[in-house]
Amino acid sequence: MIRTLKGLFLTRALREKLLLLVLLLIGVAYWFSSFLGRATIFMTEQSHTTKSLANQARWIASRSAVQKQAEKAAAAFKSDETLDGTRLIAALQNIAASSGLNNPSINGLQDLSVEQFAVHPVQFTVTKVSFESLVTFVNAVQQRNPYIGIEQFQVMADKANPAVLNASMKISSVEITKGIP
Amino acid sequence: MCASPLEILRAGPPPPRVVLLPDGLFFIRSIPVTLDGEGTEGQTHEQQVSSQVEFALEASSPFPLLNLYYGHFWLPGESHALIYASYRRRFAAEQTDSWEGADLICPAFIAAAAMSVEPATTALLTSNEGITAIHWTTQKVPQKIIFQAVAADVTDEQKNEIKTQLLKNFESLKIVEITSASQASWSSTEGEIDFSLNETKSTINAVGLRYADVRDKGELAALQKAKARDRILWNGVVVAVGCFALLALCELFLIGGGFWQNTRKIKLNIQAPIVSEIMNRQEVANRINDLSTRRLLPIEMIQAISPKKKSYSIYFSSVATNGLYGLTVEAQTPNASEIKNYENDLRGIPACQSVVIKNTQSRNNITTFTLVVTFTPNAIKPNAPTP
Repeated sequence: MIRTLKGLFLTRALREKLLLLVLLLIGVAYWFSSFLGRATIFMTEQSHTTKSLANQARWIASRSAVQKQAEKAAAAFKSDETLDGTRLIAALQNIAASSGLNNPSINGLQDLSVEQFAVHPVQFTVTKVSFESLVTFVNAVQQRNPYIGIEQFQVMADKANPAVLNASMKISSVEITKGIP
Repeated sequence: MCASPLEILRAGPPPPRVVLLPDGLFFIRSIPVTLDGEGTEGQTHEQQVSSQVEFALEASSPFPLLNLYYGHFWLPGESHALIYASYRRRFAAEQTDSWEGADLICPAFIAAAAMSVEPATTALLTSNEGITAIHWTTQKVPQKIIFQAVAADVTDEQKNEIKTQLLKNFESLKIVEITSASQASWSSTEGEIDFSLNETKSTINAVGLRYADVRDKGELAALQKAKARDRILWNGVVVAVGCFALLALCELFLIGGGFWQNTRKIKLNIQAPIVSEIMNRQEVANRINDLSTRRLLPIEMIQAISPKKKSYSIYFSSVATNGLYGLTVEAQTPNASEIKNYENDLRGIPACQSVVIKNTQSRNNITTFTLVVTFTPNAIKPNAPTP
């Protein structure tokens, strides 16, 4: 068959031979270019998926270690004394009132919970307070550690009256809903 | 009706275009050849024979070579060559115009001369113009060729008489009669042409074809160049088709790879919630661990770097914790010269791991700056609880 095709090709006029060759070469170039683009996308996706699967495999392999780490961390807590979101807000209101901080603003943030463990963060904000009352509040909150903890703290002088302060804190509580097995 | 592509492929390659000229138009002689070793003086045996043929023709022909159509038939190892020539004007312009693109143009007897025969064989080649007697002695190249013109209206008996007269010129042990016109076809070996003569076959190789051709030698050289160029073009076509096949193969791999990749993506999606849950658990564990083991001590950190300890006229306008052990302080002072001393004092505090002062600006005699302090972990101790 090859000999037949060769014979047919060689008996064509020169312009026909050139035209056929040029068309074939254009076809090859076009297909190669198209293939190269798709192959590059495939290789990139493949590489990304390989990395993601390897990452997932690492996490899955560390599952029991993570569970043990969580249980170990939770072992320092008595489940009866841990606070849920509502109890945290109530506790902070009490501490603020006893520290001389009036009308604090307490907003609940996104909880983080897994099975029997939960972390309840809130944003605690007070305005126009003295540094001393703020120190009293922070010390009182720290007394409740590790059940209540300050994670972020920001204080600034009030623009209208620099003698007083505005403060904002991210305070979290730990809740253990069930006993550690 | 046009043949289908399948029929064209089945039919095989188109036959070579061979123009067999009447033997009677040619002056035919056998000449001895002497070969000077293989490849000496840069000439092959074929080239040496070709030179000797041209010398012989120049010596025996009344016309210069430029006015002749000539060629020769020789096989490697043979001690003589068969030369033939014809005056160019014996061929009409219309006839020579039709030769364009032909693969071979030679006298009709050349097809039979290449036959493999026993010693002392004579072949009688009958054509419309006459009868050609080809006689071999012990060599593969015919020793003598005689053409006898025959009128169109002669009877078979008269033809037989002519043949008998012709055979009397040779001492023949075997006589082969060839009555049908020879059919040319491409040989299985590249560049060779096979001739079918009655029951027998003859083959002329590519080199033999080049020297057997009677056309102008310059024209033949140009034809050889064109054929070489066509072979390059054909090789280009083969490479291009090969690339197509390779690309098709690659496409198959890509399709297969796509299925494999889809399977992996499904696995990735199935595992995603499990991994997300483990990561969540890890984060919770870290947060619980941080709350239970590490305490943020913002008041203690502020008190540790308070400028009031040395009565600097520096005031903090805002303080923000940066992680467990970092403080970012926006401060201002009416006395810019105190900033450097204050920085040096802070560097002297053992609990301070690093002190950076940046964004220093002055406006209306008030200099503002940003103080970034990082404390050594666990260097700051909590204040004693208030009773």
